[in-house]
Amino acid sequence: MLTSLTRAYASFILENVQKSTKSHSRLKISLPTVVHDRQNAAWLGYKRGGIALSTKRNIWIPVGIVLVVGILLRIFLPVGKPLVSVRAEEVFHIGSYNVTNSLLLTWVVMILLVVLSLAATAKLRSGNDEALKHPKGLQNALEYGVEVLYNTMQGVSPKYVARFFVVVATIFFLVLPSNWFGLVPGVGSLGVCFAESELEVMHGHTPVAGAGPSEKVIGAQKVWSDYTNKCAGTADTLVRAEASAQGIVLPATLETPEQIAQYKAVSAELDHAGKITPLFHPFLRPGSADLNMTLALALISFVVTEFWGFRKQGFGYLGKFFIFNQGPIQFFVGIIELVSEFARIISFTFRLFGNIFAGEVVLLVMAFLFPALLSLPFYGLELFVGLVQAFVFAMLTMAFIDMAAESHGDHGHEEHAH
Amino acid sequence: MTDTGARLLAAALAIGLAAIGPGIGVGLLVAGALQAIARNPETEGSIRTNMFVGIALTEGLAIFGLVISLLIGFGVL
Repeated sequence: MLTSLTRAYASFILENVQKSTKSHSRLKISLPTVVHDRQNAAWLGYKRGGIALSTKRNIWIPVGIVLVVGILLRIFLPVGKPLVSVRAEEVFHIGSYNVTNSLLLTWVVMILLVVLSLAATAKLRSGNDEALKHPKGLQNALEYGVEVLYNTMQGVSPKYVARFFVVVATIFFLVLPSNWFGLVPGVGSLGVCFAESELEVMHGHTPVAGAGPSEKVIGAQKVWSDYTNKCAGTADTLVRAEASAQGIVLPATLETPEQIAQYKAVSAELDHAGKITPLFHPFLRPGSADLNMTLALALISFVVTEFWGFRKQGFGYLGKFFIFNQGPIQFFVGIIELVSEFARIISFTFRLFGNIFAGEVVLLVMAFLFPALLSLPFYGLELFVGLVQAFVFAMLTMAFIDMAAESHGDHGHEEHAH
Repeated sequence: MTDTGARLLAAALAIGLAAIGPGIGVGLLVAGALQAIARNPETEGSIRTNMFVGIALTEGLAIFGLVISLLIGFGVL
């Protein structure tokens, strides 16, 4: 399926490149010319009257509009500093148990998966023969997805796919919506602004001396917030509270340049002392942008792989790592094999985490560079990255299971299987 | 240079330098795999599998760079 898609895409691009080069070469000869090829002309955005306009001008009009809109948005929308946290943040507590925002979104994903699969298999479970023979609607769509994945995995490991498809498909179908949920507007951008001193109280540390008055003010400022606007408000409140706690008098309004300069100087000083950095806790965060979840998945994958190695080969499985009878080079090769076996946990963990988290940060930074519009193309990229990473995680698990089952000597027969 | 500045520079260098080699490696790997598939399209399944495993191992080096970079950036190292 993937390959046919790629081929179709490649042929589409080739066709269009040919089209555009053809038209461009004609353009260079004489600019205002009659276009005979109406279809190509329409594709390039020419006017249908038959007189060719400059393609370049037609491209620059939307680009210009986008630029102007972006600059206006940049001027009139308040833009703050992007706040990025690698750690998943606590949203609320159940007893002494911290419920983080990534856990919350993973629950959402789990509920979604359970409801979807229950809805899709409702007819099957009621013993409807018709649904078994001619699946329709949602059931058909989900069956298609599962089947594509199954066939791909069959290409990876024809022997063990039936046995381990449960594990692999679970990983895939958990990771994929986790990745894609990060792209839903509001995930990661709606949340609460906190202040550092308040966090210290939350975690049961003793607050810093002198920070007393500011805590109360900050507590009152704990609001439902979108990303930048209210956080900037929190920063302002923090500056004023800290300043009054330290006995610095700040101007009540910020109108004259002197007042603004004084305010800026004080806030820069407090910022440097680490007193006014507001912290932003989003309500939701994609599970795969949390190291704990990716590490858990990597450990599951690792344990399944090792379990299957021992199950198939007994303690002979260790012969792959500890080779004593074939000279020093083979011995060190075995040691390297052992190290890389454990390094897989790290690379599994950070591959998924790095890709998804970096995607989030890229979207965020692009939104701050150029409001609302620049992140749009990156949404497309992230959609693709999310799919590929989910697929790679599942496929590598399957491949490593397959590799663990083969004993050291018979690598050759993998080719015969195809 | 302040301590924080040196730390930021080190973190950036760690991942930046670590990405060079794997970048070249993954490029070579995929190029080779595509050539092989073009030459012998029936073996696409096994070539793709081995390509992904190879990419995973190569990419692992860049990921170690990322880990070191994060460790430096967050002051663990």
